[in-house]
Amino acid sequence: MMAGISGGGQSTRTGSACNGQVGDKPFQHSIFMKKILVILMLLSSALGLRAQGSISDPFFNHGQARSLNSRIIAPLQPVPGFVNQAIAGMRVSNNRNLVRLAHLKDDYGYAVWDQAKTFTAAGRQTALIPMVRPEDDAITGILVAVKDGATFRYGVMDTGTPFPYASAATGTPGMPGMRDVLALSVLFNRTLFGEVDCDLVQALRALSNNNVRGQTAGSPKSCYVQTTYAGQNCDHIYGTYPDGTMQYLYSDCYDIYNYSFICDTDSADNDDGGSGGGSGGSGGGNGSSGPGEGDNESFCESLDVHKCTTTRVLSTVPSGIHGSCSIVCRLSGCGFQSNVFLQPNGIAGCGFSIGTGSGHGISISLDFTVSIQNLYTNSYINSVSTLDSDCRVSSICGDFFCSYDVVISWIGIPYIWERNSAELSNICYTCRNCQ
Amino acid sequence: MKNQSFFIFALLAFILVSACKTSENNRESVLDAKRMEVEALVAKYSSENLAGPVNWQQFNAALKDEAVLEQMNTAQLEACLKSMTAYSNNIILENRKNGCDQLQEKIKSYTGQELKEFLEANKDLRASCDSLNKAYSSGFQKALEPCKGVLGASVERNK
Repeated sequence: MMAGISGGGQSTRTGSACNGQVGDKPFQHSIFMKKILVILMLLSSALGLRAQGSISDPFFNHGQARSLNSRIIAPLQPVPGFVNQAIAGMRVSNNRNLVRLAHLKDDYGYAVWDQAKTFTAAGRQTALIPMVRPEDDAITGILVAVKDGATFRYGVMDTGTPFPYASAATGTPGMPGMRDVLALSVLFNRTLFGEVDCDLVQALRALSNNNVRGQTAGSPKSCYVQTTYAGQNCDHIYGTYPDGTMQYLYSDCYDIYNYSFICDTDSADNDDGGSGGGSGGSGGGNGSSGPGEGDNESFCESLDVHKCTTTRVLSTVPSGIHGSCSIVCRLSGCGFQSNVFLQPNGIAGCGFSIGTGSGHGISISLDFTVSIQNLYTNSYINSVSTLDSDCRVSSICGDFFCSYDVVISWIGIPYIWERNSAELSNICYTCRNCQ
Repeated sequence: MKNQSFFIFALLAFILVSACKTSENNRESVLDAKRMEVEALVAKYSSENLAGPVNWQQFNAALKDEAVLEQMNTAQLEACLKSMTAYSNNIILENRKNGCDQLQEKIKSYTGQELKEFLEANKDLRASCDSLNKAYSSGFQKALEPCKGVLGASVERNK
């Protein structure tokens, strides 16, 4: 999948012809006209060559992928200068580039140029550019562009062919492998589409050397990847060229990011169903293995820091008589799930009565029952940070927003009591086994 | 003589039972008429209620106890229905008029970080909708006032 092609400039050799004799005016005039004609021909030829020398295709438009895929949520960014150079290299009109362009469009879709990750490795600038099909919600592959001297080399890493580097034995040190491709795909998917293909996460977990724990029953309902900058690391990338030989492409230090996968499963409310850990570099670094089961499990269990939930009162609806109903939000689990309900008696049991008789002996009464309707909630994680790696205790922080109507029903008649919305920022709680 | 007094007692018992039955029939017909009156009132105000239709199953359950119906002050009930309907409708109409309903609909179409950006971009409208709703909800106690006398007394308690 990795092939080298070169993109370079065109050169034009110019010459002159002088067959006339000096002093012969009509002849001089004729020679002058011929010179003009030759210059014009050369100019038009040069212009023609320039027009032929650049491939004109919407594929190279910065916004083409976004215009064909409305699911991309990553904010539009300026296209890095180096990526523009890589685009120019691909636009050079030669058979290899034309074949490659058709191959890219047919097999991978379009490049989201503005989301490229660029870095320098051993003096070689490199760009990783995610590829998407129109209206798909996952990337199809990652276009790799490496500037080797004056030449650009291009290749594609893809999840469908996790070992594209066929001529290198699996497990060769420094070789990008399935884990790297998967990790980068997960990172790009998260950036572009907000969510992660759970199958990729499962595949990454399966590849983890030291898996945190087995996947609980059932497939994850949804997964998120949390990334944090973890410093720099060094790695090596190899490529296979059209003649089948494998060649070292680049090797250098680059930024790496820790990533953790947070999946909601069908298991208990406060259980994320396990997660994997590792690191994926922007240059395709080898992932590190996740933390293993601790020996001091009982000690960790005894820690009172993993309730994995927090409760906040969003508003209080005064009955004005003998107390009030509170609208409460509970955030819980590794996935930051939210639950909004009424206290003290649950979603439909909060309220008051009017009746006859004294305070000690109410004989008859009519109930006013408070409930929450038209509830809309939105919660998402801002950060997951490790507090105790031995006990796998982490702090989960996120934002929450909700809107709802407080409805009071009396003898079967509903009345809107209050319309409300609430916003909570950076709410944190601690959990175990989320990373 | 013995037969004569037995006859008198039987006659008196018959008259007493008949009188009770008539009284019971009268009470039932009075309650039926009152139930119809209450139903008509509830139906009338329900048709004006923008919060939704009445749940007749809950209505019947609430009025199952004849003592409640007997005790109910229909004039006070109408005042209560009028007041609560006006209060609830006002909130709904003011939300519509000020673009708060539209804002809510738009909010529901966003999730995650996108929602955060949308909320930030519309913070002024959100603030005005919040203050509008807070201003109205403080008037609930006043709207509830006529309802307190529906059963004649004004005793309230938590459910």
